[in-house]
Amino acid sequence: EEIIELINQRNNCLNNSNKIKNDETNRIDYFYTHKFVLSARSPVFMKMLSCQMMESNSVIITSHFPRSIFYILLKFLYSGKVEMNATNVLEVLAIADYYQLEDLKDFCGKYSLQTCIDGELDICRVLYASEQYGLEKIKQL
Amino acid sequence: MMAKPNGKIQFKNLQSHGVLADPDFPKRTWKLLKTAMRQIHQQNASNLSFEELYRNGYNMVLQKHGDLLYNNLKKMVDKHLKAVAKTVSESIDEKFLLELNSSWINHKTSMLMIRDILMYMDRNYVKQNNLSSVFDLGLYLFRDNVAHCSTIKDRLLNTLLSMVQKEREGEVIDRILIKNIVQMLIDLGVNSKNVYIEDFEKPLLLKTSSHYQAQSQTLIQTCSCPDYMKKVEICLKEELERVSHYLDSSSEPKLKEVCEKQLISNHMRTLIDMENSGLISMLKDDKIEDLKRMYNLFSRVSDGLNLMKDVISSYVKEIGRGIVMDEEKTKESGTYFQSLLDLKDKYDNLLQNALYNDKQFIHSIQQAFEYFINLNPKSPEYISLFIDEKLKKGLKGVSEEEVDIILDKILMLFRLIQEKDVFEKYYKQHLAKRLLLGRSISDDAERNMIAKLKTECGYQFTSKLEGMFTDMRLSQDTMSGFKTYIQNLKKALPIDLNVHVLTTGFWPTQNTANCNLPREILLCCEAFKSYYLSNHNGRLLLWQTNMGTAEIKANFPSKSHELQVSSYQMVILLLFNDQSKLTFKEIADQTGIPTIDLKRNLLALTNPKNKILDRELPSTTSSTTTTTTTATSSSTSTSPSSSSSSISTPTPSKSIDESDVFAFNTKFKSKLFRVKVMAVVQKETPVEEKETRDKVDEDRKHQIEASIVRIMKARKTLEHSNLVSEVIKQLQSRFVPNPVIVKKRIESLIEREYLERSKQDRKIYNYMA
Repeated sequence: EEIIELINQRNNCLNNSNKIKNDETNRIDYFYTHKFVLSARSPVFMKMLSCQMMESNSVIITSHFPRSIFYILLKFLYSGKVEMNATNVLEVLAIADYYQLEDLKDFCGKYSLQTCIDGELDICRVLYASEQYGLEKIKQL
Repeated sequence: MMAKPNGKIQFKNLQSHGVLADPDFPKRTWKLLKTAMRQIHQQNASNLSFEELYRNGYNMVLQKHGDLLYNNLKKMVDKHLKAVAKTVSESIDEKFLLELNSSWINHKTSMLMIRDILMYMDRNYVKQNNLSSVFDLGLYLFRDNVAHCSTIKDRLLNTLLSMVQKEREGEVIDRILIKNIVQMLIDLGVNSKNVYIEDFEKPLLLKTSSHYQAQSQTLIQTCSCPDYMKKVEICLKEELERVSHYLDSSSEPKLKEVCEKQLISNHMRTLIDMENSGLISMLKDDKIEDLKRMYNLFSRVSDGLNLMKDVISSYVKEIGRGIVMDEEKTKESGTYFQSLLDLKDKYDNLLQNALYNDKQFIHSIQQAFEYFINLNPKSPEYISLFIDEKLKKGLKGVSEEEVDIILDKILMLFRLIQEKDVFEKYYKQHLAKRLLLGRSISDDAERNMIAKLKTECGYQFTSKLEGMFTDMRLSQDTMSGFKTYIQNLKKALPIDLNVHVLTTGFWPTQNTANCNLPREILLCCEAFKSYYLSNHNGRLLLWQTNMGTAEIKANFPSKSHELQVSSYQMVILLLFNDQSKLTFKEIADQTGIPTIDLKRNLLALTNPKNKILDRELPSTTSSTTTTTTTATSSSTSTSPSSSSSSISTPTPSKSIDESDVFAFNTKFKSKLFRVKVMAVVQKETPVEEKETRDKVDEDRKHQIEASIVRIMKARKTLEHSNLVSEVIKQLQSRFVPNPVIVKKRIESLIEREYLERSKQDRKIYNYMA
């Protein structure tokens, strides 16, 4: 519960610190997070923040994922909870794969399968994604 | 910008444009990655963006360009390392290892970074295709391109070996550097230590072997055995330190083995046999420290201790044999035995302080003792004599604990004696003498000894000995009863009579060579006889006059003395109350003492020290009155055997001749009022010795037969060799029967129809009920 609240507070921060670049399409958002939380949850962040390269010396790291999806990821990293629907599940799967979050990947896989059964998602897209991101269990089905 | 102390970091979220299906994508991406890796190799990575590189690597793999990425990486690193190898091999001698070490460290850091950037490839592409991970790939490439490069490999090995050699010769070397290089070799083996073993350990072991071979050769020619061992200890310690300083711990046992082989195994025999300082001289001089060192060193190699053990054991045998066979020493039971005990003490001390009480050594030394103790057939007798001496006088003023220790030591040797039954025979004789003549100093010590024998050999062994003690106690009761009986009769006896009633079978039996007792003594004897038989009906009393002692008062012209003599001597002396001069024959006729005993006793009485009787010179005098007589009795007797120890005063050559004439020595003088006439002492004559032997053999026959019957009764049928071995096993605690004799006993039992041979197999016996 406390963690969720923390994130809610951060939400305010996030809203306040949004920046828009001069290019209309390249809007930049800032999230404030904790190094150790990211490192503990994702091996990619861990290496990124400890490797003797730019990121380990800097306070800003970048991500190319859309704001809404990245927000879902952050929330998951902090709370272990995830809010998804049929429209964004595959995008969440993509970000989970990128940051090597195996448990989230598994969950996305199951969830997307469920939405297929419910008829909200095209099975072909699900299969393509599971092929691309190496979800062995779904491929076998 | 610096990271804020609270560890918060900012996140920049760039909108993705999605993945592009650009045909140039792989080429372009690889170019980008390659540039970045170059920078990494140049140790200039701080301006690179991990996120960007990771994303590129990720996209390559996601779009199935993993193979391209992997192979290009391999090519690139390969090329880079070839350049590194060139630099390293061009470095001058002193800098060579340093250069190699630093390029290794750089390579490791670079590979760690590259691995991190390409971690998505490691997790997916590499795994799916069963390739080596990026970091391992880096190790393999380094191994093949640098460590195994023709210009580096041998040079590296030689440099390392020469550094080790320098250290062995006492120079100071850069241990940290070696440690790092060795660690590199270990790492290069990836999951095994093959590279380390092949490239360094094996040559090192060979080199070590030849080094110590040469060194040990020079050492052994110049040093004494203890010095050599000290140096070896130092070498071994140094080698172990070497392992802990810069070698892999897995090398320890191998290095140890090589060193031990060269330094110890190859020279064991030489060391042991070294003149004036080898094992034998260490034993001679009680060099406990050196022996301990030798034990420690030899215990490291196989067979080392066995060799040492064998040499010690044969040396002990030789020494022991020397003692046992030494004519001089065997003459005196005391010194003979004391030297054995000293030997035992010495080796016990050795075992405890130098050999860590090693079971093997204890056993082999014990065996050696057993071997030589049993070499001398007189050992059982001597043990008994030694105990006799100790219990008679040797323990005066010694505390109970010390007595206990001495007895324990004796017992330790006793344990090794095979012919325990012979010992029993002698012990019985000696004990009888001690008890009857009141020679034993301490009843407690006697009982203590018996108790020890009992725990050692069991109840059977000591039951008779204990019976002897019981007899002594009962005799005391009888005597006090007898005294009140006499008082009640109101008839005083002319002398005090003290009788020990001994049960036949418990005591070493003597032939009842009866002598004619003087009248007044006979009177007393009759009185006792009638008293005793009235209490114990149906018993037969036989007087053992040869075992008694007497105190007589003798009035010499100058002075009167009290003489302590044996019963026989008393009988002889009393004759001179009536006559002043007697021939040998007259004495023999009147007393009825057997000739041999008579001679002995006359010899004692004419001994120049206490010359109570004169030979041939006629003289008169004086009256004698008997005061106390101690006569012993037993109800039967079979064959005699008597041996006594104690102070034998050699009489000047003269032996008693049957034509001699004896007279009372009126000129007898002594400072003392009480004069003790020396007991008739004579070593067991060969004839008697043989008799004892025969008796023992006869006893053994019965015991063997009894054992055979016992076994057969339980087994009903048994094969010959099994029967023999069982008999031997059963009787081992008393003596070791000869199989030939056992066979004879079996045949005798068959004749008497206790056993029969089986009809099917002649080798099998049946028990006949």
